[in-house]
Amino acid sequence: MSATESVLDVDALLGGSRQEFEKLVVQESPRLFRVIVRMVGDDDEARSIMQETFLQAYQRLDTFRRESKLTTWLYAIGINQARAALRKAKRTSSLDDQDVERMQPTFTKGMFSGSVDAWSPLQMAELSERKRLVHDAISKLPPDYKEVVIMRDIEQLSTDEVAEALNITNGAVRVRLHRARQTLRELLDSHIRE
Amino acid sequence: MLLKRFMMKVAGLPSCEQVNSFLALYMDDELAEKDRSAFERHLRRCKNCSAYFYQYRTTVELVQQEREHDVALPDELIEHTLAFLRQSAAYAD
Repeated sequence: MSATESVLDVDALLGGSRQEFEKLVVQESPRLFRVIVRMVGDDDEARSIMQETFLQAYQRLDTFRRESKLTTWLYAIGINQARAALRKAKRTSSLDDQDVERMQPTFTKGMFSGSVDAWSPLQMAELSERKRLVHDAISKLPPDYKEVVIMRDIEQLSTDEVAEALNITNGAVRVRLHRARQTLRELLDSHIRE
Repeated sequence: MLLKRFMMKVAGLPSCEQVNSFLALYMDDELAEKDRSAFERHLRRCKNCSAYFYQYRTTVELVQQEREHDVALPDELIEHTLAFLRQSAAYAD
């Protein structure tokens, strides 16, 4: 638990206590902001979406079911707000579902079609723009895939938590994550291949 | 390719496609012991799957490092959020 964290009185919070709700704001703002800014790619927009997320959460406290974690429920609201903002701005990612499909490996009678060219460890080590390449590759993913990568691989939420936040099954989380990772591998491939 | 598939089958090992479908579970250490062993034995015999697994794992590690490149939080993010809430009519005890 960090210095800014304290134990939340969930009963008081669900009863509408502003004091307890503001503890939640203090505790969860940094991570929620990181998730949202990684989705929308803009600081000001992410801040505004995060503020709306907390306001909506406060107004909808009665919809929280105790079988899920409070934070997971909060991320669900934040993700929906971020998706709505992306739709409203008609901002599309540079890859669509068909591109993701095209970037999956192909098999013939169960075996790899063609050969997989090795990645060069030297190329990896010397790649000065590695950080930017990875960042750009993630930003190109369609929202459905990007949000799973952000929550699971970057923020390290569990599969259960991601499934709850996105209201999909654990199996669907795994499938999306696998396809997203394979797409990212393909995007990095031409930069790192021997 | 067919010969390779035949050899894998004879050895009781999964196909490349089945191995590919195991990648995420393997990374999460959630494969049953029998499947994990078959996965690893296939990898030792298959250059393509071995290379692909290395690249898949490296990709995940690179993505996870994004976490360390922390997003800079805007100044007074929390203070501004609290101020926003407190001036909202919908935010009342």
